[in-house]
Amino acid sequence: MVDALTPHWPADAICTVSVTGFSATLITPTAIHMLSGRDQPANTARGDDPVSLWLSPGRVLVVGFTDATPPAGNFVSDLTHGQAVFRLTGAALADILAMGTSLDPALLAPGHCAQTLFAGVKTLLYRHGEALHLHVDRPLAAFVAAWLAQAATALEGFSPS
Amino acid sequence: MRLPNGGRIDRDKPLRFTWDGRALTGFAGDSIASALLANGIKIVARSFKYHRPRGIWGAGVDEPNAVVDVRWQGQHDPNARATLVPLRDGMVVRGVNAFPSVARDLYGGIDFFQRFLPAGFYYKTFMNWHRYEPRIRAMAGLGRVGEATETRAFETRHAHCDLLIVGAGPAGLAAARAAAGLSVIVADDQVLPGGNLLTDATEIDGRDGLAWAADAVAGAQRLARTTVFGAYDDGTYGLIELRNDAPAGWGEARLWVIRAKQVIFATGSIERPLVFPDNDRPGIMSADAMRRYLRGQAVLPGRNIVVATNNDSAFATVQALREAGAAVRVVDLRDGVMPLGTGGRGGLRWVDIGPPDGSRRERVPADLLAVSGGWSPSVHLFSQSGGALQWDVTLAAFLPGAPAAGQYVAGSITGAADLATCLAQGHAAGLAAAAALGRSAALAAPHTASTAPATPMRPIWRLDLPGTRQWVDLQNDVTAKDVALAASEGYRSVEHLKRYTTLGMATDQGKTSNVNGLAILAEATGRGIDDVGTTKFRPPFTPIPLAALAGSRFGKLMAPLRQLPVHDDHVAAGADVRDYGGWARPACYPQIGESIAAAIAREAANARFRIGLFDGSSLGKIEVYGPDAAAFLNLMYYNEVANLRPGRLRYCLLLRETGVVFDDGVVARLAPDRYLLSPSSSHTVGVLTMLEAWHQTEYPAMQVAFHDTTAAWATFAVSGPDSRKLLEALGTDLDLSDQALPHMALASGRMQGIACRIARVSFTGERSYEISVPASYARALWRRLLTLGTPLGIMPYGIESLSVLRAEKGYILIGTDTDGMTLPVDLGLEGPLRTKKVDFVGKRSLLTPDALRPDRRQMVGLLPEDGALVPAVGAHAVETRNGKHRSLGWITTACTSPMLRRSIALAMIEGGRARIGETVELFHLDERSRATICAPIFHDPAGERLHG
Repeated sequence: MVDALTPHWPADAICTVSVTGFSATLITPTAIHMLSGRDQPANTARGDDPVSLWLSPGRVLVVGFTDATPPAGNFVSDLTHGQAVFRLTGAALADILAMGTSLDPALLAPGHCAQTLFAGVKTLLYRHGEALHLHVDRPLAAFVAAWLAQAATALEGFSPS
Repeated sequence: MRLPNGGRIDRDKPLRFTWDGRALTGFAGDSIASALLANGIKIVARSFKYHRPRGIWGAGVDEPNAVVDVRWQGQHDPNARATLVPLRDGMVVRGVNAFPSVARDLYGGIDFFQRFLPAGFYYKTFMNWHRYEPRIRAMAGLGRVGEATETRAFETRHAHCDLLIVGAGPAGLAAARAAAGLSVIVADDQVLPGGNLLTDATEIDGRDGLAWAADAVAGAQRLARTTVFGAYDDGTYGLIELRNDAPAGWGEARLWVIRAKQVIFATGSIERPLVFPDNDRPGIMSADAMRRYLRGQAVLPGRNIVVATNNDSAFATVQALREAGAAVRVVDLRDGVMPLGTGGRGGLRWVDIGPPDGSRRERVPADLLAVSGGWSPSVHLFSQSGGALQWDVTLAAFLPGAPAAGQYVAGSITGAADLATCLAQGHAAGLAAAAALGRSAALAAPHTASTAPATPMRPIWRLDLPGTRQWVDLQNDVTAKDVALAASEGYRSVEHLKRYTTLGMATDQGKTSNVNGLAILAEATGRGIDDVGTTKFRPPFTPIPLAALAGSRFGKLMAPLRQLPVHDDHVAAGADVRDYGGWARPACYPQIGESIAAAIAREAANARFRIGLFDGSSLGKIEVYGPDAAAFLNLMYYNEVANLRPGRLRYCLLLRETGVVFDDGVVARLAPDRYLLSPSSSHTVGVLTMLEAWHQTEYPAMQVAFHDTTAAWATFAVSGPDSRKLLEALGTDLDLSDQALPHMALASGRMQGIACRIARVSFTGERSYEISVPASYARALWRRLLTLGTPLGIMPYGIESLSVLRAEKGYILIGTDTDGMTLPVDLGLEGPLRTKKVDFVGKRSLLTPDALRPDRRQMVGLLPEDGALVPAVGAHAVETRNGKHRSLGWITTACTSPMLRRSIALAMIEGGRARIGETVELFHLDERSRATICAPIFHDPAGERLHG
């Protein structure tokens, strides 16, 4: 007999970085949908769960952490399985951001989101509570996880002050 | 020659190191250079071209001579500037560019032939450069890079600030103090802030200068041992920080990319040498550097010292030397005398002194000669960032012109020579930077005692003493005579002078030599120095390790390679995973002991005759929706797509405006207003960009939108006569009968509650299905297909095996069988051009005379005469006319066909379709063979197997 169809992430993508000042984990939101036909101010994040993230004029990404219901709209694409989401936390988060992206961290204040290069790949970044969420195309999850693991070693001797 | 007292060294912390094998001792607080001087080492290098002995000239970034090889705790810098590297316990320091040592260099004999090695010597002598280059390179050059591979990562940091202050001398510090309240970064290449305050004890605001300095910078982020090496667009600056305490696995160099709203260039200035005969002898030093070593590390590298100057600044050194007990003789050009020559083997013994015309001379014994030929403001960054320079006749220096908005200059970069002026300028710049961002502070300028006004300097650029060698560029061995020779040979432009003589092209980038060199060029060509101008200042200001630019991009992080959702299973199955257009994909799955070729043949045959499984998850999946989706896509695609029925697929080409084939792929219509495009794996982003670009720029009124859902779905192709049996065993809710799902049709449904899509499409020529599920379920489906397919003889096949299958069918690979000139007609796909009624991208280009030429290269098949020989891809088909060879085209794909059990090829051949049946000669790397031209399809020309 064959196994039931069960969801799975490759081992390399499952990020479990935890050092003094920084931790990163792969999380799996309940639903991620791309929606065209809805607009909101540029580079903003609205709501908490689901959070609606501005992607481009007339296009948002809706991320649900408890409810899988797709947002209403004529053109909604399910990207739940197409993106890896890393939850980054810790007092040294600013250092990791400074290593990964040239983006001004001031543009990542709560209520904002940004699509920018991080670790050299296209990512979507926004604050979510204490954490910073990093979305990346699923095929690049292993690369980003490896990058985060290595960057964390640069924090040796970090002391929160 | 360490003085018993003084200096900022820790005499309780002796540091042992070796110099060319000799065990020596220095102290914490020493640089390598100061430690060498303290140990009486005079010769620290051999010059680049003539292998002349050279000593330490400077104390900082401008040092032209003291480039040394440094090893410490597994780190190796073959070209370290001894003046910038803090001494560490256990350092192994060696001279470079010499054998066996810089003190006794066997290559030193080259200098006897100097008469035959003038400027441009290489260009004049070594016409066939490639023949001589290896030997010449082996003799010239600097340190040798080790064989070891760099295993450390190098950190990159980005930062944003209101104000970047370059230089932590008095001016930079006064600016930081005045700009308190802004976010300020102060970068300086020294360990401690203070600049000249570190050398000359001073009172500022009634306090010790260094205590004032520490307070002034307290509110800013200070980057010590950090050089701003480049100014780039939009206020971006590149910096290299050298850390003492890098974490394990990380290199000491850290690259900073700083985006600053404003910048203050408080970069200081660099002392110039005087140009006179034999001015390169070890023991001749910058007067300023000598004082810095004396005050900083309590090093007095001589007892009997001549100080030669053309300006007032050297008198601080005279005073310092006398305080230290040295005998000092001052030679001031403004009194009509200067050095006319020097002598001494292995180091300075005497200096000849007299009027510049050489009419008389006095020989003065000396073991050290301190020289000041004036000051060159460090305008490098200011110039890089777009600032204009102005020649100042009084100071004989290029000064910064008016700074752009958001830029300020302060300190000796402006030509300011006294501390009070530097502080005042820094203070004003800091206040202005703060005010520009809306912060005004009532802060008094720092106060210090004023100094007496200076007596003007007197420039002299060279001496008119024939038969002498007067050095201009110490690092690249360029003399005043070389510059004059270049001028006489017509090199009037300072940029040409630089390239011809190599003046200023060494790793010091001519920091001490450029102004002297171009002044001599001005004299030689009868122009003013402002007419000659200076060479362009470019980043980097100092050499930076390439590893620091590479950062962590090596090994696993070399490039962001995309992984398939069942990557782990492929690896576990022994796949030969390779990089295909940014995706890590299996080329094939060789079994233990099996060759790649055998694996490909096995997998291809299995997919043809039994059943094969292919991971096509990287294939693009762009969803298109909108009332105008059909009309818009019809404008984009070469093929008609508006009449496609929902649930049906069509193979389509996308063209560039030039008519050249950009991509091919299957277009599926899901609903009247909804399509699904499948661009090739490495073109998905390109296709999406093309659609967005045309929509946003040319057809913004059309109601259509695009979503890239490539990563959300895993797609596996099942190919072979038994493929439907396997699909049926999966237990989907879809009708897979040929009536419900014929070739080129698509159905969406569910499999155990999971969304799935099945497209009946084939790239192998066999009955094939592509089944897609959400990517997280990829592993479950992949394993299920392998399990269920086992009784049918299923085997996975990789890209190389697929490539054989598609070649047998004459299916093209974009970029392999096509290039930047291939039009659809060249591929035999002229149908849409004839029948499609509406316009499409590239159409006009398909109707040009060139596109309609009958002798265009066309895709054909080739059957090599020797069926055992697989001709090389890229081999040319040649014809011989009147004894001359001419290429008719080339092979784009070649392989052994498992079906035909012989070699086959696809080729682009001039007028190829009319030549079918002809035999052509193939030519590749001097090997010849023959092949017969045929139609580009070797298997199942009628396509019966797609349906059967």
